[in-house]
Amino acid sequence: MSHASTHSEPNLNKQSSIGLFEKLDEQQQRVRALYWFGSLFTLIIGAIAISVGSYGVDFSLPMKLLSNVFQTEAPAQSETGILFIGQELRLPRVVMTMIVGAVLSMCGAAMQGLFRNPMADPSLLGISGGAAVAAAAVIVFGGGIFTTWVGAAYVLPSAAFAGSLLSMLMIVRMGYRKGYLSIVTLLLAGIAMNALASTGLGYLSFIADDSSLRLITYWTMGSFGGASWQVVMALLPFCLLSTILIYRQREALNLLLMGESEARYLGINVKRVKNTLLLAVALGVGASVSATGMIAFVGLVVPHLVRKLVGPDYRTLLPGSALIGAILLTASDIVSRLIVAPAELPIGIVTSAIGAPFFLFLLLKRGSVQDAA
Amino acid sequence: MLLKSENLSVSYEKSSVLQDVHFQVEQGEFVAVIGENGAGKSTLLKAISGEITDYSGGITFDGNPLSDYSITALSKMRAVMSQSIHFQYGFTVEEVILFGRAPHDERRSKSLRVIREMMSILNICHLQGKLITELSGGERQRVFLAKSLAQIWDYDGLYGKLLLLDEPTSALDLKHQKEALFEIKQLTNAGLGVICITHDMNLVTAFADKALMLANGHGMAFGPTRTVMNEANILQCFGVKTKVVNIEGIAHPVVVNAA
Repeated sequence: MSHASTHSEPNLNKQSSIGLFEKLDEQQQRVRALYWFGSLFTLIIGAIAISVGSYGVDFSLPMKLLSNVFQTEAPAQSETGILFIGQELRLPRVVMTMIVGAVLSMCGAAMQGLFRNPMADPSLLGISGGAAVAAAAVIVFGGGIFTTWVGAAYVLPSAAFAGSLLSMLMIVRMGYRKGYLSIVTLLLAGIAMNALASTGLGYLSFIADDSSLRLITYWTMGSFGGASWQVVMALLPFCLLSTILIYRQREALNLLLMGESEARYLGINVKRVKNTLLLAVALGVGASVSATGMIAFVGLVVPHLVRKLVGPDYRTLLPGSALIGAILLTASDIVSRLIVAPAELPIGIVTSAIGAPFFLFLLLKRGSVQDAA
Repeated sequence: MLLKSENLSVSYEKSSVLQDVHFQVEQGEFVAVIGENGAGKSTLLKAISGEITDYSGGITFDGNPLSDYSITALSKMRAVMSQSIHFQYGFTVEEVILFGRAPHDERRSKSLRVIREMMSILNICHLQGKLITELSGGERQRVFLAKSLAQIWDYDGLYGKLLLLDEPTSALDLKHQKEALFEIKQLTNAGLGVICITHDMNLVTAFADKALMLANGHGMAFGPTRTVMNEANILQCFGVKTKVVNIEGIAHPVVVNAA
């Protein structure tokens, strides 16, 4: 190009390309550090979570479990108890916690992109509530379905998925006015949705028998107590599909941050992207809720943290959120088990205790819930 | 012929917004669309950018109906520079311009080469590491222009591509207005077609090769700027008495308010 050049251009150009590489390097280093330290911390926190519990604290348990896998001979008599606890209770619990933490965080990040607002969160908008009502309804009305059918493990996540999808569609329907998405309307719709959900849960607990009632209560506060390999296996396909669908939209999510028109100008089929994301979030949230109940604010806090660490680019925000989400939720679980030991605090209370003040902080920082779109 | 609109009509919920609008843009031509608020300028932009698809009449791009192009194919041929893009998060200038390369299935190194070229053309190399949220209005506008150009840039440069501008100068002070449009005008020399929505009459007389005057959704006049921008047309379109005068030292006619 011959035009629009100045006499100093070659010089400028040279300086800037050096600058470009420096900038990229610094950014890449941050991202790499997040991935490495994130993975390392995931392992460490996982090991701690396996070692700690009401049965006793044993920091050699993770190593014992690992060596037990490679050992053919039966373990010593004195060890079988703790090994069983580790293998059948603590390990699936840690795996489940990490999956749920990762998925909820990615879903939060996806919703914030979808709605173009950093305040969007599955629990705030009533998506988790819808999932919990559907799961509770299956428990109360499902009757014998759980004992008689082989696919029973998938019934609960499927029902919760349907519930979250339905509430998601209602939220979107209410939030959009004349093609324009208003965050105020969206949050109000979330309040209404949550009210509806708690009404539904209230009614279901009223008519439920004792065992169902316990389950419903556990849904409203969130708990990892129900963890087993069976639950993990039921959860996994939903969560895998959800994360894959969301991660595939990482570029589109970046472009959506500039608005739907901009994304469309850049060749994005906005409608398809939105539908995919709605489906993916419903899958992830539904499955998580079916396994652990409502865990609030994870999807709000984690992406925000990751943005502070490595910036808003969805290509790093999504995997970063998955890692940090897994770590934070596992850490919260350890806290919930230790703080009132030998009893357990419901995990939803721990995350809300961190998340609710954070939400208030976000509100205060913004001054008001003004629309940014 | 780069873009041609024939009998273009658009209506929202039975009320007609655009009616039988004719105009065309050649390669390397700067066409201004001018009219009062509500005259249908934005709707016209939406129709030719492919955002509105339910119009009647014909829009052709490179001789083919606009509806024949996929959304991706279209995104490599025309870029839309909006009045302003709101960023909630601090992306760097370089990341923002890289977004423009999204439609191109290419290696990152190639994208980086393209955006570096765009930055040097627009003299914004010094901004690349800065956050978009920290820039001044004029700087942002240049970054968005670079993003739009990066979007339609290919091996032939910008030849045969179309840039749509929506009130490009509304956020800028006088100095930056001139600079931004001068930059864009230069690019038309390389074969870039430009359609610029504006209500600044002197912008039209200064930069546009042709002008389309819209009044109540009708194409009131279309042709070379000097023939369209006359006192009678302006009075009819805007209801304002003006004088179009030649001032010594200024290369183009100037529209002054005569009321």
